[in-house]
Amino acid sequence: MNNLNNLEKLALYIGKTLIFLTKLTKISQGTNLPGKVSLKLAPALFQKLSKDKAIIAISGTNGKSTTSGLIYNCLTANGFKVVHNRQGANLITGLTTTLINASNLFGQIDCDYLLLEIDEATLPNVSSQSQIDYLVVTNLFRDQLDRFGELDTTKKLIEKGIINSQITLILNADDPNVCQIEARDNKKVFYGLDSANIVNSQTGNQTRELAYCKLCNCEIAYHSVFYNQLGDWYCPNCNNKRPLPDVIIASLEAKGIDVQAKAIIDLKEYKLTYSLPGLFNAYNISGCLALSYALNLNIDKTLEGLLKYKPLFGRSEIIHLHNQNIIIQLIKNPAGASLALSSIKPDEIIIIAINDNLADGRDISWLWDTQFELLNHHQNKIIVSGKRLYDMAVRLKHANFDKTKIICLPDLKVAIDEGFKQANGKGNLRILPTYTCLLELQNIFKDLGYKMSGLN
Amino acid sequence: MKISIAHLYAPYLNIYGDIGNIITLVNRCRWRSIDVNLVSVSACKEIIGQDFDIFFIGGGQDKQQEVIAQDLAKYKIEFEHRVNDNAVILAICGGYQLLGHYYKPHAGDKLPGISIIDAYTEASYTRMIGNVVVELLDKSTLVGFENHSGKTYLAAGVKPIGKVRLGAGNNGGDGFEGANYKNVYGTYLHGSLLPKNPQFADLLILKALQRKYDINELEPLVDEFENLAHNLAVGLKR
Repeated sequence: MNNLNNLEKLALYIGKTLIFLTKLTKISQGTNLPGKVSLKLAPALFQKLSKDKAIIAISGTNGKSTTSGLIYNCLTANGFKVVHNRQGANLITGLTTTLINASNLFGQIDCDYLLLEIDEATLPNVSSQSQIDYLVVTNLFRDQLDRFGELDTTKKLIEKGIINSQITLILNADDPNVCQIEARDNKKVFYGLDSANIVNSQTGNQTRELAYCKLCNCEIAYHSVFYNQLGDWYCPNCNNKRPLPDVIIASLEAKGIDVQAKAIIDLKEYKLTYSLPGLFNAYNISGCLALSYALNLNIDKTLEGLLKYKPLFGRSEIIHLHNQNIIIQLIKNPAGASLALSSIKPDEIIIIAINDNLADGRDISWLWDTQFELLNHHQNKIIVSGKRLYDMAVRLKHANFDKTKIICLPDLKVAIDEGFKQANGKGNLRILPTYTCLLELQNIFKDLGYKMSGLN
Repeated sequence: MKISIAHLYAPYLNIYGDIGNIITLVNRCRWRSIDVNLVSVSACKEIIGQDFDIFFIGGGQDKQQEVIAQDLAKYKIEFEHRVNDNAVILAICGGYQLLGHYYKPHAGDKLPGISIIDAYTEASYTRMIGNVVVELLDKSTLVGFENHSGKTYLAAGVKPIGKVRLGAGNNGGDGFEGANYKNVYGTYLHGSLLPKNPQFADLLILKALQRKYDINELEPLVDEFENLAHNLAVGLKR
């Protein structure tokens, strides 16, 4: 019994009613509103509902949703009951909605773990209300600087969230900004990729986050760069360097839509298979395994959980619809978007959809930090859509892509129809939407008859 | 024709897409068959003995700005000469702040500027974030996105770039945005600034070329996407 007072009980009932109503009416996704209303009424509701629960938190710029989805699979494969904000609503309102939904009428939640993907700016708030037991920090890239101001600010928010030394930190060793996060004497588990087997995947003169040594303030250098500022880093001025990760992913090999990889966990080697392409997902897998290692989960069951993971809508899964192969990849910042661009083949039809709503980032300057130059020799037409389509058209023109091959279609539905027409069942139709364009796309695809496996 | 561009502190001041300004300057020259010599500069000693028509300096994070301010301050006299020699300077955000007398952060010492523009900047506790529309004297507009907590105050008689129709501008108080002295332009506008303000980009290119060539105008380009993007941005909400 979580000792809800009468007001909190009322807030819980209202929240549950709102969740029911939004499901019934399908007016909105209903992932934030119930929590928002309930918290207005009873500000301590999140705290009360999450009290005494084992909490696993996932934060960082990229990979939060995928990493936490993977962790969910591994925990359930190990027989644990898990409550997870899998729709990705990661602000306090969304987290509270998740708890309200999972709670019974007495404010009790029957689960072994609360698995919460948490927005970087929300982390300090959550941490001040409930004891986080495990915190996974994926990476720190520039993203939504219109909200956070600067990258250093984002890092400080995470540090503020590390409120005491009881939180076990699961850190990306390859990101010098994450790895050097200021902590107390927290237990740390590091994860990363293997420098010997991962070739330098840096494409072009990509904008790289600068990192500095926390001991002597010198600029960080690299033995090898895996991707953006992620790599085998060291300080040229003192002894500071990347710690040897406890969990390492090595030798990635694509087999159809599956990836076969080798994981080294605490110096022991394991073979694993999963269906998430690319270097970036190798980090998500590595982070998930690091948490499993920290929790001392059964490794065979964990690997089974990974194998069964289905990507979220818009997170680079391959869709077959109306005789067309379609790949949808959410883009939201230069690091992730440049990586997405580097995997496009010259004969694909591309749709790029850019919005500038709050959830996308109001500032679209990041388009200029993204390597659209990777498309300069693209053979086929490129369709641009979304509220800021003309900015995207200008960006493509300046990437020296043939401007006569740019099609501007503000309405996303019209753009998708044109994409199907252009692709004509051949090759891939590649869609790169920002976050709110992806939400729109979800509805468009539902209307086209696509059955969603995982929603955002 | 030939134009020489120095991208100052390129590895450090590389935030908020300011590289888009360099891309635009380079392309708008190349599309007119003007040769471009682009030099990426990480410390100002590298510019000594080389002539440049345009200097670009972008915005960065506070930490990077400290290092850069110290380096830049050593070349105050150098830049005075360059400015008097009609070099074009475009400075955005953090770079703009360093063209004034100083930047005073919340804590710690003032960062020295190079006093090219008679202005100073002080850190504030409000972060001015959002779309900006600036109206110039000729009623034309500049569009962009600002994201700064420093407030810049121009001395009496210093020309701003324009008046803010939308947004905070220099300090959120006097209604002005940016500063202009000779061929030097400082502004808070990211976005990037030049891609969707092609007329302003061309103004900078023309002034740079006029240092060496007797020309009054540039060969016109077709700016259909640029104009669409510009006009759309004029109608954006804060």
